[in-house]
Amino acid sequence: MQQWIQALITGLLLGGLYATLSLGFSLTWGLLRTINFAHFGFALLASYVTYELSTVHGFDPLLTLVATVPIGVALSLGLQWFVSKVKLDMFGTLVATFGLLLVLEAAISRYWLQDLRRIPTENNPWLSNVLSVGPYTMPVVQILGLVAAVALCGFSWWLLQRSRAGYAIRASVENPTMARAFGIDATRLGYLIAAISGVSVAIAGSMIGILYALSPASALIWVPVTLAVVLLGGLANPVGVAISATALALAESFTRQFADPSLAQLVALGILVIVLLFKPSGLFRPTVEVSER
Amino acid sequence: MLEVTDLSVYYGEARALEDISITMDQGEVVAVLGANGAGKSTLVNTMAGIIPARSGQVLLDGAPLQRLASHKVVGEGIALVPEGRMLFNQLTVAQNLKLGAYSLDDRSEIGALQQTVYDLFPILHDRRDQKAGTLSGGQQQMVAIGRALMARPRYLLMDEPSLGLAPIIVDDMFDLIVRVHEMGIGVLVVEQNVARTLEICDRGYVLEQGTLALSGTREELLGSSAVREAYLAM
Repeated sequence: MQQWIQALITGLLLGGLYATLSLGFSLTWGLLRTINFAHFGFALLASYVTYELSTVHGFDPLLTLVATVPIGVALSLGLQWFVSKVKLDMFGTLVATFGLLLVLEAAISRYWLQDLRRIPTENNPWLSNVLSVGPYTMPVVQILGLVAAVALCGFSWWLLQRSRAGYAIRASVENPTMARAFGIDATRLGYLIAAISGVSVAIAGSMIGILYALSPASALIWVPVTLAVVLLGGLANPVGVAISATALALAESFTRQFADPSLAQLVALGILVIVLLFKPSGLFRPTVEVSER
Repeated sequence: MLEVTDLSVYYGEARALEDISITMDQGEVVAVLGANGAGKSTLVNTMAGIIPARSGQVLLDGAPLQRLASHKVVGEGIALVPEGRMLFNQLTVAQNLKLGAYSLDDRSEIGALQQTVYDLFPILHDRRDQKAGTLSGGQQQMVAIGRALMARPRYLLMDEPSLGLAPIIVDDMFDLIVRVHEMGIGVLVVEQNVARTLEICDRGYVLEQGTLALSGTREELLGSSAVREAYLAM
């Protein structure tokens, strides 16, 4: 019983990280029609900046968000500017951003080399800062991460479903010409979405830097689970992202606890394949249904 | 005064409009008539700023509108009821109406406009939380007109408002054009239903293959043998 509850807690906390990482990928795909593989490069860069600032300069790793969030936002806005200037179609964005991911990986391995990097324990108070409730343990930094995930997904939901800017964004995805005819400046609203994506990818990246060892190739580790969350959760559906991320993280956590830990990484993809076999549209509806052109 | 001077519009190399000049003021209902492919929709879409012109100008009280970014034209007081309605189908009726007023800032004014639209179309108030895409054709046309009225237009450009509507609703639609006009809004109406349109308009223009074939008052058009033969089958 105790093992079950601990696995549940661990899974919920991991779900917060998955949701934070996936939210921006889902929003930009569903609303900006950009399949942004560079997202994983942005996250990796944030991880390394967190590593660098806390290891070399002695900052509290959590405080490095002051640097990583602006970097994440700037990169996301820059990409959105490029995509809208060059007028890439969705497939074009996939190719271009995959290229950008490779460039970022190469730049990171040039600066930080190929070695496995990890913030030393003495510089990383968050690894040992654990909240204990009875026999159960919860890393405080992951609790904060879960709070951030709930806040980001909740804010995105409110923005899209309850605010005037949200109607305007959804309208301009559904019918860009008419949206423009009624005064909606889709370009400006696109930057708003890109900025939210930038904030969440930076938070996810810094969390990864605090919790895990880094190598330039490690960006790709996060691709399967993110794709699974995004496809199951419905494009640009923040609630769907939160629920799918939690479900996949729980499945992974239970697999790790009760079955073969080496299978845990495959669980997300396994679930994705099985769900898509029976329900090709995923578990949740996209925020805007777009007929593919 | 809303004017179009020497307007030419091309789709690639294909000519859609050549040297069109029309004019209307806010007290008028002006009809644009013509066969399929004559360029009527191109004309209103260019006036609404969603299609660029190759040459010529659209002037509102003498000020050229093409200098504006396309999303700014509506703020000058020109709203479009597009052919095929083009609602935001996945948004509710109320959200469609609110987006019509996206170019306005004053909340109380937006509320008052919304009330005007609901007074005009009580059924939309009952359906306000329903997705626009799930309404009947007639109700969708009401949303399209309501959305345009929410922009507080001085000029309303209506592209085939009776197209695809049941005959009984077509009558309502023409009554509605008169009511909109009585609100002090200039109406430019593109229609295939020439007989009904000539009952309610003050003046009209006839397009043929992208050029202006004929223009005149309602009486002149009704008296023209060309119009009677081509459009009224008399």
